[in-house]
Amino acid sequence: MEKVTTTKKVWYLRLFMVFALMGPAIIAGTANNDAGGISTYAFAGSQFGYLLLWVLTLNFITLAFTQEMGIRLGTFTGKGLAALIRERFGVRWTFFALTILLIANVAVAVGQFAGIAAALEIFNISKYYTIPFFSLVIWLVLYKGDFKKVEKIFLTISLFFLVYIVSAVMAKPDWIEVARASITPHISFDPLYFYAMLGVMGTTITPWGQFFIQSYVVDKGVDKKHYKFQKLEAVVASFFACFIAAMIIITTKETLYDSGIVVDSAESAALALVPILGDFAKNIFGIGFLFAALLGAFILPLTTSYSICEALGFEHGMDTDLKDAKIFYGIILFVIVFSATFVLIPGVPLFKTMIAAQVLNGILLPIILIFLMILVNSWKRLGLPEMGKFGKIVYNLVGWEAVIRLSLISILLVAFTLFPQLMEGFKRLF
Amino acid sequence: MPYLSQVLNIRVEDSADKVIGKLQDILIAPKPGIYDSLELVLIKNKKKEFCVPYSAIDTFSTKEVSLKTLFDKTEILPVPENHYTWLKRDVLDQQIVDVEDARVVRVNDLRLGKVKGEMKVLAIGVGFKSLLRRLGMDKLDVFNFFKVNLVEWRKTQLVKNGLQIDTLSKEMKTLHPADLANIIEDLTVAQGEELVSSLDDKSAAEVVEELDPELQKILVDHLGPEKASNILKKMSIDEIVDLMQMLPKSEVGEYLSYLESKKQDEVEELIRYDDDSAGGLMTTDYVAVAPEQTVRDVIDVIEKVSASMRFILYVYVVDENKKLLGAVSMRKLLLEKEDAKMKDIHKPLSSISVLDIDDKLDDIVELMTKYNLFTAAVISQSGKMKGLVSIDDVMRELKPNA
Repeated sequence: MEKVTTTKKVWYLRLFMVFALMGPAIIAGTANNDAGGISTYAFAGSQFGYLLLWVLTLNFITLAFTQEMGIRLGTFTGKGLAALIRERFGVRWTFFALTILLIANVAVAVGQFAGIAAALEIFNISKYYTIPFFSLVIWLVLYKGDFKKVEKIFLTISLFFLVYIVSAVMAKPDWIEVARASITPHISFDPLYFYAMLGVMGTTITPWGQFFIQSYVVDKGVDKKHYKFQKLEAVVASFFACFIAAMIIITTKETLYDSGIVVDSAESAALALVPILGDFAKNIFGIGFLFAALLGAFILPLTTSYSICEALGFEHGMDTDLKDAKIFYGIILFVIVFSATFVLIPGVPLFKTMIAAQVLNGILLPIILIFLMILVNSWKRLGLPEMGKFGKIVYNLVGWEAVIRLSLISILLVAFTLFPQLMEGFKRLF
Repeated sequence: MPYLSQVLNIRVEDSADKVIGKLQDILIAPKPGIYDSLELVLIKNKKKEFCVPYSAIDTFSTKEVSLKTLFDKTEILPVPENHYTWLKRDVLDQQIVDVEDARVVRVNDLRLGKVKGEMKVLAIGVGFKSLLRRLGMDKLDVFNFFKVNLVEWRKTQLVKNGLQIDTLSKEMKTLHPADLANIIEDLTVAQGEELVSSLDDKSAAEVVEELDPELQKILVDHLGPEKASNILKKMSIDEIVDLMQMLPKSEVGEYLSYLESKKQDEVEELIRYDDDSAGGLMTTDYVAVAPEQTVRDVIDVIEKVSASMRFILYVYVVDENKKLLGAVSMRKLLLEKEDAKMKDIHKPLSSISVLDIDDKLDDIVELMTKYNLFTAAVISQSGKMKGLVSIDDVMRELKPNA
């Protein structure tokens, strides 16, 4: 418990106060850019330059709206997304949604563990030491410790990635070109382009993020009267998340793409920061990357188990005991052990795994978004305030556009991968 | 005896075996503390939705549902707007309070069955087994690995669409505050708020004291200053202090202003101490007496203040400057003569264990364990009596989530 009237303030408390003033939105936005996110954006920027910037613009709009929907549902029903799906759609659909969520989340968790391993390989420490060690730490903190305290420290360290803003500016990009690329859609019929595109979408807007934001609002007990403020915060946070992503893409374009280097490891991703951080770039990047990955590696097992138990009615929450909540802790343990084991398989390409996880997220995301859209449209039944006619149209337009866009690109990606000749046909067509 | 999930969507036939539609829902008019009878059956066919009274049903099983008469002769009712609770729409898959075990569970299925010839809701299925049945996979559990887990219907409390406070069962009302707090922690904030508001201020205060501190803060925020301050007035000093420490500074003043000025001063003083020090843990609800007072006088004092205190194990003898001189146990008070003076019967300060106001949790635990104390007096550096730490305050600090 924090004191109200403590006069002595330690330096780190002061630091937190500064962040508090900067607004939770910025912290939330930074947390969104986890290890998988940084890898994917760095890969996208070094492979395709500015070509994918326009996707971030769309991401911003989609993210702002979907996060707002999560906040709205959480504030006015007081229930998490998993619980609402259960109450609205019954057991069978809930199982379906939870299976999708479990697959997507485990993929992201694997990505985070791969991030931990990749970060420490920069320091030449083998994954066979780091993964078992950090798996144990993560389990112990989630099982015994106080994750909320740990979370703050990690968030603070993850703020290191604000360095990309400075480095992007220092790289002196052609800002007019950047602005043009941000609003000009570009499609090339190249499976790798579709792959990167889906990765960029799947890492910004995630199934777990959707469940997480709603639970967060519910647990904080946001009052209806503060809803307008929360709404604004969602927009700012979404903008910030996409803004950082854009800065990563700009930095990697200027430093790596122009020199023909494609990011294929955490080490090569660190190269993008050499101009600003100099010789220490590799080490500083490594530490920042490790904490970004750790943060995700803590949150994912937790949010996965929380959602499943909430929907199926098992005891859950950080303040429960193992004996009362065996299933809750069982699922947490499963996600940790599975992710760790996967990363420990000899020869698993760490960096590719991280990006593949984001792509899989992008493929599964539209299914979760459909549930979300149906729920938001059942506002009357759920006791949500009525939207104006215009609002309804805009929300549905943005939501369904994202569902269709993601599904279409997923289908094309799968089709192109399975039938390469199909792509040739497309190329001739356009 | 069918489960609700087994009869939903089943074809309904009339007495001539003509299919009249599918069973869509079953309606009850719930009353607290009983097994509710099935009142209406909601049927849907291609043309419309309608209800028939349950009394018109002849066979009701997992294989078939049929009417007693021809469809034309059956009493057809429109779908009612309110008054009824719909088993599928309002109960199945929703949360419900299991009053007996003081927890909130999710309804996986509903057990229906005959009691004295009448079809009633008997129990809710909460375990894994009923989930499997809903998925049509219960046959997979060939070894009966999962137990059937049922909660009696009459020992549950609906929470859908608000708690319907007027239907709160007697069992629910008489739950221990700690159990009620457990339930509130599992409900949504709005439902918790409703439940707390329905209690009288004193009971509400007892429940709020038991809540998780984070939730206390949220709830107080939602209840608004008026109700919150009424509850606050009934809470013990140390709990108020804990709560105030959670609230933003700007709001503390407002809440404190609702308290009487003496209590307000005490809270303001206590807020200054660290949570895990004797000063932060202690309460100022204790009985202080003067050395010249007799046993009779003290019993009179206790009579007056007893209602506002959680417990009284000792009375503390202090001089006019509030300096602690000694303590007298309840046992001693019972056994001594009525005219015996405090100064003659109290244990001297040297033989009772006291805490310094800055003592840390570790010191407190050590002292209380070593001397087997339920309570310990807290004194300032100058020896003034400041308050009382009780073993339950210590336990709460050690195990905050229990």
